[in-house]
Amino acid sequence: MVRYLGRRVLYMAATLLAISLVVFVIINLPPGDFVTALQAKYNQQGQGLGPQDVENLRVRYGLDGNLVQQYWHWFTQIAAHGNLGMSFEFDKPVAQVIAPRLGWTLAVSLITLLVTWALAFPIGVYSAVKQHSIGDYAVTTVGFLGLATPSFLIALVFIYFSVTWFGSVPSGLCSPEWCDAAWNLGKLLDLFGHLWIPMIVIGTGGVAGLVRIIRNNLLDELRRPYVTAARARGVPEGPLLRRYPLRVALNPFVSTIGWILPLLLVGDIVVGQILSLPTLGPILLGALKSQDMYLAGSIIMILSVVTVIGTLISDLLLGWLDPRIRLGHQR
Amino acid sequence: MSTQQPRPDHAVTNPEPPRTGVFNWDPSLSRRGLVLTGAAAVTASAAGCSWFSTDPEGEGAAGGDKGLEAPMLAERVEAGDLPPVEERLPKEPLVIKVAESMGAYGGTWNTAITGAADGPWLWRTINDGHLLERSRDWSEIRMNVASAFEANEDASEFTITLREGIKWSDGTPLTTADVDFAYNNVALNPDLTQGVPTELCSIDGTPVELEIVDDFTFVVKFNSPKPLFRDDMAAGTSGQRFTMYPRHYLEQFHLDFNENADQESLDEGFDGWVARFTSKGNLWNFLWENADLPTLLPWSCKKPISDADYAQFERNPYYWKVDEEGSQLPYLDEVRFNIIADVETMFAHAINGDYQFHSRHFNDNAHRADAVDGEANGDYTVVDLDSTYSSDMNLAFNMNHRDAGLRKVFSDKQFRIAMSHAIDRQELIDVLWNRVGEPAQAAPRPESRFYDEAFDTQYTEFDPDLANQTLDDAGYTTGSDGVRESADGTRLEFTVIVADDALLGTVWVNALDMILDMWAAVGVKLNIGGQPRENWQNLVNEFDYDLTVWTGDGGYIDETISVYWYMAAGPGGGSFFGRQWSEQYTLGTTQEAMVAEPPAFITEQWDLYDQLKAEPDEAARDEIFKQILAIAKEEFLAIGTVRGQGAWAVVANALKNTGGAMPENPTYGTPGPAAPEQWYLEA
Repeated sequence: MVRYLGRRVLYMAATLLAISLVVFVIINLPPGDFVTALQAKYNQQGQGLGPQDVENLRVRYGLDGNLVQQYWHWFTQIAAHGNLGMSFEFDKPVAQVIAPRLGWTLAVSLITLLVTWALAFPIGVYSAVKQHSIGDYAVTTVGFLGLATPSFLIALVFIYFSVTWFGSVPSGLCSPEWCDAAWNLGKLLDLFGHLWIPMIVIGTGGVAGLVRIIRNNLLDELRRPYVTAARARGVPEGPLLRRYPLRVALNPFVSTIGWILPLLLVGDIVVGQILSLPTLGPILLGALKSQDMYLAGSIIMILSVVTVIGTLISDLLLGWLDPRIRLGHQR
Repeated sequence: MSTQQPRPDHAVTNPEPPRTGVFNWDPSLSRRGLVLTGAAAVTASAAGCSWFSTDPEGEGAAGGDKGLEAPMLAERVEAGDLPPVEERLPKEPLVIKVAESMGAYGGTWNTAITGAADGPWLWRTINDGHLLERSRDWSEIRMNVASAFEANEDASEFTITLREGIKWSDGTPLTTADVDFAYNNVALNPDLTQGVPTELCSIDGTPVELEIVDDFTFVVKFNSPKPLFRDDMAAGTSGQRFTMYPRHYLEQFHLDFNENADQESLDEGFDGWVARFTSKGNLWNFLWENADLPTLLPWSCKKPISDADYAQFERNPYYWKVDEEGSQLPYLDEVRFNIIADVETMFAHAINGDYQFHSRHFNDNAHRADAVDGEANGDYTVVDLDSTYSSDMNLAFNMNHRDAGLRKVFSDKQFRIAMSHAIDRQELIDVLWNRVGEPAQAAPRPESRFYDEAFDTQYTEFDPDLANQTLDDAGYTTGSDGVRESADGTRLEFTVIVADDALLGTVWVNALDMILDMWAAVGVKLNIGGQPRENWQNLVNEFDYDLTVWTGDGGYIDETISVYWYMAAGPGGGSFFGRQWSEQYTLGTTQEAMVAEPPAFITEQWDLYDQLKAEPDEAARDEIFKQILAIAKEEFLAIGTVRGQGAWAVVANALKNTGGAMPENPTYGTPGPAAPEQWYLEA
């Protein structure tokens, strides 16, 4: 188990290193840098910057060296000191910009994950057990629609109906009258009143995907000879289902943490923009547009770390759950 | 130039009697009250107590029924947290004439921004603290923070007196020590300010000399006449350069006053004292990042923008303006900037009636019909703003193009004339401008004092035959594929770069799509390069484009400031037809070697503009500017298209004193001059 764990952690570190490199290169690919953006801003305020001023600014923001140097500086600062650098646009340490939003991002994602599971599991089981029933077809159709519709479109549709039917726009995570309030039952209820929309919007794709996986896995198991044998021996349908095929079909639940978490976080980038959530998504978009590279890079890195850790947890859980995987390398 | 007494704004033809029955004490109407009521019975009853509390000071004749100050401040005075209102106001507070009726205290102004980078809306809405101020109709310049502003004979020295007794929002008096700090320690500090702002420099670029006379008087000395300094001090950011740096607060972050500033900043995670100082209050944008920064604005930051999904500004208890009854302004308790990154979501909020006033981001033609449809439902009115654009889409060919062949084509006036004749502007109006609009060139609008009908209408008639003829005569021959070539073999195929996410971006792309066919008919091939504004800005800065389009700024109100459609100069990096020339004029140098020497008429315009900036007499300035325009007309530097309806604002029916239509213009800073401090919400 220790060796298994060690191997996974090693993979994890290598993945993060690779991600950091790719992230940094991609952020620097578009022409211009933050100083060009700043120059445009100064211009609009009637302040012209001469070549010398631009050069000074590049030095100030550490944009004068070559890309390799910049990368190395950024990476060592993070690795050695946990220092994420400065956000050019906010003129604040990146950590201060991200901190208030990280909690919401994780909260929205995790709650969505739980809801995704809570919905996908019973639906998946139902549509496998009652294959080819009207219910199965209905669920499958809705599921495909959910997979095929981009989440931002669902968000816009929700906004449209919310305005025309209820006369309120479901943006943000709190109503104006509750945003300032201290935490209490009322604020919690208000939060849930807002949270269900991003939950559904971000979760739809995930639910649909999981339903498909569970349905297929369970169908495979249900056709196995041991199920037929048990049924022939008179084991009642309920306990039979619960005791054997379901436990095997449970694997994807655990193994999908790895890929469903990034899916949710990515969903948040677009949906968070449209629904104005206080999450990392909208500021990531802004940071990429203004080439605020340490902010953008740090957000992507943090999301990557969360994802990689999620994968690690799912690997560990899977190893614990399924000896075939844990002992796979010993054969 | 003489000092003008502060003359009240918002001329009222039929002054209504002071409104009676607006006895708005009710703090429970505020959000906090509501919250507390919902939260717990105990706190609710506590909030309820103040319901019935009356402020004895408010019951006198002064201030009318509403009292001399807002109930929320009267409570704090009673609790001993604040000095009484007379002590908070200056000796002679600035009296603001209300636009329609005497207001009532209370209420929240909800509005929206796309994010922390949306700074312009912040300074347009709670814009104050300049030395001087423009009137609502932009026609006159009045005293504001300054109580006297006098120029010497040749307008090279200005003696400025600060209004005595104005206090920062934390109660510290504003004095010339703040002015000294703002100029010598901020504007002249090369680490904090890259490039001394032009308004603080003489015409030749030398920074001014500042002389502090006493606590409230200072003298600004230029090395040559600079009459436009007065205009500068009444404009957006420029007029606030001396009075936006609270010395007593910012000193602790400045290396000149705190030798540990650098180390402290590093300890706090900044990369040096400059970063910390900037983040605490160096640039306008940071006014909503730092709730501790004292200001002179009607509302000061209570909740910074980066912490949450909104930024909240609360009334400044030391605000230094009063209404005619002597009641301290502002009327509205708070301003709330909701962060709505997506424009369509923002629009959904607007038609739902969630904003008391908003005129940004979604107020284009495409959304107008839906906004009008929603008026009854959302309990708001769509108010038309007066457009100030010469045309909604001006085209500029890049005469500083790095490719010599293209540069030669673009610099050919006959080519530009032909391109203008080839555009069917009426068809654009019928298809894209809802049939409301008229053909126009990049020239001052009819309401402008610089209007010249011939300039405005030259080459606007649609005549493809004439266009073909002109191109033939100018030596552009048609190749085998129907696309023309210039004499040196340069193919007339261009790409127009468009910021397609700008307010009019969609209209521009559609219009260019139609112009593409119109130009193809005369043998010119056009490609459309739509891109996000940031990328477009990059290409423009690098003057790396064939042609581009933008709004025709400078059509009215700011003709002599936003000059960049008339000459190679102006704010925001200058003109699109001569980007590098503008750089040369503005900065006196260029980052890379000049690709094309400016022709004589460009330098002639520069000389005239230099004269204009040094001319103390306004009428004489106008004459000089007319000469600049005459050259622009003769040389036909840019092509205008359609002058359409202006933008619009949603104004809640309960919001009073906005005064109806107002110009939409970045220099004007809509709705700043409409004095939001005297807006109020009818209960």
